[in-house]
Amino acid sequence: LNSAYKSEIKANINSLIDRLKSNFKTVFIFGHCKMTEEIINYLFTYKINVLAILDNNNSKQGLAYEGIPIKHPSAVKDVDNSCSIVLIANRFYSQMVEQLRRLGYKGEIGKLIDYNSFAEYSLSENVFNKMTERVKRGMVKLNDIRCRYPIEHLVICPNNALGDVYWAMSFLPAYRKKRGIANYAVVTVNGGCLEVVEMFGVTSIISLNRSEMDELVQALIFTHEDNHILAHHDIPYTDNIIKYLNAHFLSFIDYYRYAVYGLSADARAVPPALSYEFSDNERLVKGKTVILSPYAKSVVELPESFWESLVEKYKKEGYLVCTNIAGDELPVKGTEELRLSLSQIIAAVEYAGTFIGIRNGLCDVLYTAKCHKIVVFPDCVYSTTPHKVEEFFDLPGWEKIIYKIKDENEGCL
Amino acid sequence: MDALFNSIISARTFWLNNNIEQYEHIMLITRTDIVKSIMLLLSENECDKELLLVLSEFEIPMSPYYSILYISKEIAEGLITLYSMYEFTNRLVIASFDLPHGRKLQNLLDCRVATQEELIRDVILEGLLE
Repeated sequence: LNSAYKSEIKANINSLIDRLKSNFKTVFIFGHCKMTEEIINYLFTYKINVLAILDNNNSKQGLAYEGIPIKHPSAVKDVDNSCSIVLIANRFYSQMVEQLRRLGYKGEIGKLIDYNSFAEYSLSENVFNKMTERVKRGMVKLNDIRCRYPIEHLVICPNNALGDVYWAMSFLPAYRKKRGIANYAVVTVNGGCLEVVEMFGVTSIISLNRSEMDELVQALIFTHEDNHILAHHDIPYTDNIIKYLNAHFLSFIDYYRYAVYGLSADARAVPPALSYEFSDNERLVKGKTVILSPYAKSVVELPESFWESLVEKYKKEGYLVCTNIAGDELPVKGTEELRLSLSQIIAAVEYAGTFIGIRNGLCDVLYTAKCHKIVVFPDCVYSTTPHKVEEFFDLPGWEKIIYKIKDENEGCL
Repeated sequence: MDALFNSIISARTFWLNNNIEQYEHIMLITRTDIVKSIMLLLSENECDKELLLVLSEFEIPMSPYYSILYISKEIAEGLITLYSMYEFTNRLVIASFDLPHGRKLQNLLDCRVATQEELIRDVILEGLLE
């Protein structure tokens, strides 16, 4: 999770803490993902226990995290609703609220993050006016961009996720060729995504914060602006192309090839255009270093013991083992800490020789790096689909480790 | 731009005045060429007339599996524009491969990854069918 999301969630929990301790006998969390586990851990620090995690995914029901069972949302009917609360930190907040109310849940619902600003299931005057103002702000932003880039085809990368932006950029040349697009500008969110766009040699870039991006996306759909593409497999809500995955299979990479850009099977994904030197090479042993990347945004993390056993194995074989981290992440025990910028990461892993990462956006960025690459997948299904994470997020050419959940009390994605 | 904002005001008034939200599912028909496939799937799945409302500017067959409310082209466009301004409901299904503006389902057809029937059944009508 990025730090802005974490801060928002913690602030919202903090504002509820007194009531969570005294008013509510029962606390549920709706939707199981990595974020849910972090929330549970945070609540534990205040000695607040969660009764159950609610999730619609059949394959998750029956599992548990820290002894907290994952149940179908109808479990809310089993308790006295008058002193219960369901906490939600999910972009499907509005749908979840509707489902709970349809189930007859009359208790309180706490929104921990405003993750999806596109949905609000109401046509009340208040909401309607608020959303009208929101789209007008987006139109002003669009107008600003058009003043600077009047004829450019706008390639919008709306989500703050490195992998999404990587594949949007990687197939962009094929899309431009197909459409005969000479002039273009990429719009992305601030931070790492901007760096990914720069790695592809793009010079016309507009970077926005999260709410500016949402408002711009809304304005593009609303005004029927033609000279753009929303280069994402799951945004905006009006597309629904991700639902295809519930009954059919298309890999993450093929979503960009076919669904996003409408390209043919032989369309080539290009690697990043710019190559950077690795400037800190005295810290690594060339060809004899393993760089670990144990953290992911959406995939549930693996136990520390898993990573520690890898460290032990590689150290015995004479490798230097490092953990690449960002923000407040901690290195795996027994490893050197690395804080590599995205512009350096490809050169760094090629110098090191071996990269091992949980399936995260960094793996996409390193997709074409020339070294021994190992990706670790938790053995579980992707979102509400019937497909395994390792199928959807497959990285052809990489060595795979599938982490089996040995203890059925250990949850997954 | 004034026309867009006027259209969403009319669409909102239509939605509220007709108490559209009393239905669990509301399907907006935007083109005639896929009506037959949609109606066939709805009847095969024995949808409930009390739960499903079809909004259409085109003539569509009567059925025991859905209710019909005929609307003007302006209201149909206004509803799509309103839905493009924000997701005001999760009950509205827009029967189209390329609407709201920029919808990419058409890409899956053009690339021959999916058929019309698959997209109608598994994406557009997903949630309506058992």
